[in-house]
Amino acid sequence: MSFLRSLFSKGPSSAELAKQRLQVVLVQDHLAMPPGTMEAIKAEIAEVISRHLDIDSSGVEIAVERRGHNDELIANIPVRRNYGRTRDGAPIPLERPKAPQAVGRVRPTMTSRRSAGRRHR
Amino acid sequence: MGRCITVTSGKGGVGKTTTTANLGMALAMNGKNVCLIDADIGLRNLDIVLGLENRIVYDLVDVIEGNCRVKQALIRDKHFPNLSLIPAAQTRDKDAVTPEQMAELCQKLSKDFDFVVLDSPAGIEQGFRNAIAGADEVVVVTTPEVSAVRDADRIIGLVEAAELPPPRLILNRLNPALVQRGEMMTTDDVQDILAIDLIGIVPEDATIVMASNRGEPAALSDTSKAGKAYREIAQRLLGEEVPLIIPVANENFLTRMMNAFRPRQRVAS
Repeated sequence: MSFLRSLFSKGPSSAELAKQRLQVVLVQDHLAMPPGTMEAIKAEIAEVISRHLDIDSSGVEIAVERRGHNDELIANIPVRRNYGRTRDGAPIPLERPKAPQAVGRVRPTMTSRRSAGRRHR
Repeated sequence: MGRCITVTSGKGGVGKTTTTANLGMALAMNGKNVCLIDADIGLRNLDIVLGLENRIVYDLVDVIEGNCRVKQALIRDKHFPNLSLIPAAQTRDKDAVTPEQMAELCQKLSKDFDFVVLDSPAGIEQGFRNAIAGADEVVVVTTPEVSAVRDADRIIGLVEAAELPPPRLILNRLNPALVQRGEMMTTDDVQDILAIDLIGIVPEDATIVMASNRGEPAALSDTSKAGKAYREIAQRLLGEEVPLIIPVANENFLTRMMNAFRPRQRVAS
């Protein structure tokens, strides 16, 4: 039956929609925060992290997700791989044998981007 | 010392009063001394569902205010002498009693009864606070609808904030045919969202309406599916392990065969 339904149906069933909508609305209910709070958190996280790491501030994503009985704040922060640059962004002198290895991942799901000025050859 | 159980839901109309009446009846059928309290002051209903509306002399507010002794307000059930009701006041409002007074009354009653079951009003305000003030445990009733589940989630949070043990869930009015068509959330969906122990699933059943029309709870009926579900919930409250079977629609040969091989869900007692 459900196999046949999946063949002919156009989208999620109303039961699936109900569950998805509830999961979103309950997270909002639990946080009970004024509008704009998530944007503010996002901007401030980006600012703090960028003091220490070269991140792509425009790619920062945060969301609160339900995990069983808890709600968790999940942040995705893209970090630039700065081959050939020192921490403060200055190019590393050519005679240096090896560039410091890229800063690792903050989260397993995180996306990484290589920065424009990769490596001087 | 008896146990004080509050039946609540947040949303109105999901079956708190029906659940209270049926659980009370089913516990009494198991030989327990049971006192039901209608804590929905101003919207008295448990009496009429139990068929006891013509026997009321004193009510909950009379007991609280000391206009009568507790024993005088207890209305004995027609079927089971070990089942009694303290009806709600109809002409007063929720502010007529305080949580402290309710807690004191529950404490007093739990000395004489094995179970004190309170029917909470809908909502999260004073009436709800009164209803849980004396509770040892809470049962949350919900239906598989977005509004009821959302309100149940809120109530669960408030019960936990009141430092009561995590409430247990009754999923009421499950329509198996709708679930099978994907047009109603499944038991698993609701459990995923609310993340508390399930103590029973009550199928949508016309016998519930017929039973309240007559003033004889469905738990008394051998043929009512909902009545059977309530009797099983009462057994689980008593600590017996009764397998929790998710109701299914079409009872033809094929579905029956398939259900025979379906894994059964058990609940923690």
